[in-house]
Amino acid sequence: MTRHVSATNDGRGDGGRRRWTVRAVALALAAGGLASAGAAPVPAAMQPPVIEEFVPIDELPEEDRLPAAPFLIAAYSIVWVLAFGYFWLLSRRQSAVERDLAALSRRLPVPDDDDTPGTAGEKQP
Amino acid sequence: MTWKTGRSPFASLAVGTVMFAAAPVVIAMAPYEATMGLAGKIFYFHVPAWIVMFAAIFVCGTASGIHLFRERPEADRLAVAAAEVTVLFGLMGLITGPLWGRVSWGTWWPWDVRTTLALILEMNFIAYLLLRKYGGPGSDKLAAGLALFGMFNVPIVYLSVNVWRTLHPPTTVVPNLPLTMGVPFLWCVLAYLALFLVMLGGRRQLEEQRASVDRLWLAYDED
Repeated sequence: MTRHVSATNDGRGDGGRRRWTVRAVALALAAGGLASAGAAPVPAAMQPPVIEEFVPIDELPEEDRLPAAPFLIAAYSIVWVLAFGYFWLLSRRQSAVERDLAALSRRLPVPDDDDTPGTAGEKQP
Repeated sequence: MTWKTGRSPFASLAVGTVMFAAAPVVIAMAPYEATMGLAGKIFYFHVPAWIVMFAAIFVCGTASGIHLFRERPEADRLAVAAAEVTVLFGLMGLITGPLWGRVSWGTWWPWDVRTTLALILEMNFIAYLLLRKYGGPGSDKLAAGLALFGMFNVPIVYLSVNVWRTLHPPTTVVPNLPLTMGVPFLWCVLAYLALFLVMLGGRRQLEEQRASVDRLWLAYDED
């Protein structure tokens, strides 16, 4: 009896499982379709431009002209500013640490000649 | 300013500065690239920044690995120094890239695989620095793991242009540069490397001094 019920349930379970599988696959397909529909299209900049005629650069409207020199100069200047700004920052931080070291060495007792550097400030018996 | 070895960094700094100052003259002698023209010369500032960033990541990752598995505090200090320099050169690459892209591709940021992975790599090392600054005790080990992760990401970033073909030129461009372009490129790489070595040495020295101050404060507090 139990076996019969279980078999019946199994039968229903199989049908239910199949239905759920079908639903899950349909849902996944729908989600995939939505995702691909919603995905960003290939940017226009990544597609090669269609050239139908040659236009001399001086005939381009002012807003479409993009001279490269300012960009090149900007790239070089930014690298300079970052590199030497970092050196300046480094020297400031080093000065601060040296001030700390000087202040600490004034507070700490002067170690004997035979003291190792790591034991500065230890109480002498 | 002197390094722990007693050598002054000013010689290296002078070499790097002179080479970098002369770079525009050397680059001006290089021929224009056929499709990009003048804008193509941003290449000489952009690509060396990434090369040096990858070198800095290698130093940071290796030193972090040594600290993680061998418990070497001096390796940890070198890793911190290299991580900061990594972020700096990454910033250079992330700023010069869009300047080049705007002229050559017509877009500041194309969100292609290479640019996105490069941005993630930069954020990886910013996360490293934030972890070191605000992470509290034990953050050195976590950060070391992060640095190793960043180091293993480098080949993926480098080879991404070959696997996913996008706007970025493939990795074959630099090895196949003609001599007239290769020499200025090498000049710039060496100039960047000289600056990198000075920065790394100076930053490492700072970290050593900070460790000395901490040790002295501990000794002072124990008195």
